[in-house]
Amino acid sequence: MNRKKLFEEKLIDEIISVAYGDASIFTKIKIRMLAKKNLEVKNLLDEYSETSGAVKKISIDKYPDELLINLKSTSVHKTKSFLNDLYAVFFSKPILSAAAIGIVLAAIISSVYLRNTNSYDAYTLAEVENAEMQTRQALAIIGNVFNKTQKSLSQEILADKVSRPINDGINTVNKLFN
Amino acid sequence: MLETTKYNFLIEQYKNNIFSYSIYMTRNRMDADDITQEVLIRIWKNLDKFNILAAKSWIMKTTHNLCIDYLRRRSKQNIKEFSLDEDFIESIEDSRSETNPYLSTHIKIMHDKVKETIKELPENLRAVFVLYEIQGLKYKEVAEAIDIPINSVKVYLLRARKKLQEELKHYEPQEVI
Repeated sequence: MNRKKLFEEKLIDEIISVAYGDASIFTKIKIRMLAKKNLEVKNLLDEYSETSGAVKKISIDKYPDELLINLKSTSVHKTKSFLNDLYAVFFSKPILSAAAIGIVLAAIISSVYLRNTNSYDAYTLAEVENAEMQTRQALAIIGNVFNKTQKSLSQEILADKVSRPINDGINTVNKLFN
Repeated sequence: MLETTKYNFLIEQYKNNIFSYSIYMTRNRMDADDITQEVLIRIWKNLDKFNILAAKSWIMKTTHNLCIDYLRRRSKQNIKEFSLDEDFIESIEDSRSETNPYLSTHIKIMHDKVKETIKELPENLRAVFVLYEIQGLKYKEVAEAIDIPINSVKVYLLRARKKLQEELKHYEPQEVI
C-alpha cells in the first residue's frame, strides 16, 4: 500500500516537472506516453500545464520611474555616458562580449599566422644567385651604354658639332680684323 | 565615475526584480516601494563589497531579508490590502472587444487568480516559487538568496507547485461571468 502511494507520489512529481518544463527528456517521453494511455495522467498533466503556462506568462512588475528619479536625486548623481553604455553591454550580455573578444583574438592570431607563413618560402638560393647575376649583367649593359654615350659625346658631338663651328667663327672674325 | 556607472547598471538591471519580488512577498505596494528604495540605497553603500557578476544573488538575498523584516514587523498588525488593481480592470475592459470575450476574460482572470494565489502561498514556498519561476533564478542562486540548501529549494518548489494547483482547484471558470 505504502509502496503504491510512494510510486504515485513519484509519478505526480514527474508529471509536475514535465508540466513546468524542467524534467529530463527521458521523463518527458515517459510521461507523454503514459498520458496517451491513461486519462488520469493526461488530466493531471493538462491541469498542471495550464497553471505553468499561466505562471510563465506572469511578467515582472515595473518599478515606477518617478521613485527612481527621487532616489537618484537624493543619493546618487546619474551619469549617462558612453562608458555607462559600454559597461552595460559588457556585463548585461557576457555572451556578446565574449563573442566579440573571441572574434578579435581570432583576427589577431590569424593575421600573425598568415604573416609568418608569407615571410620567406618563395625563392631558393639558386634563384637568388641567378637574380643577382642577371642584375650584374643588366648593370654592365647600362655601364656600356653610358661609356659609349660619353665617348660619342666627347669625341664626335663636342668636337664636330660644337668646337669646329666655334673655331670657324673665331677664324672668320680674326680674318675680318686682319 | 566608474562607481556611478556600475551603480546605474545594477539599478537598471535589477530594480524591477527587486520591486516585483517585494510585492509578492509583502503583498503591499507601499512596502514594496520602501523595500526597493532601501535595497537600492544598500547597493550604493556596498558597491565595493560584492562582485558585479555575482550581484544578483547578493541583491536578491538583501531583498529577501528586508521582506522578511517587513513581514515580521507587520505580522502584529495583520494588514492585507491587495485586491483587483487598476491594470487588471483595464485589461478586463480591453478583453471585451476581442472575438471571444468569454475566453479572453477567463484567461485574464485565470492569470490574475494565479498571481493572487502565489501571494497566498506560505512564506518559504512563496519565496522559492517567485525567485525560481518568476524571477528566473537558478536553483543555486535561489539557495544563496534565501540561505537554504539546494535540495530544500527543489523540495519547496515542488510543494509550492502542488499547493498552487490545490488552491486553483477551487476556482471554476463559470465564476467569471
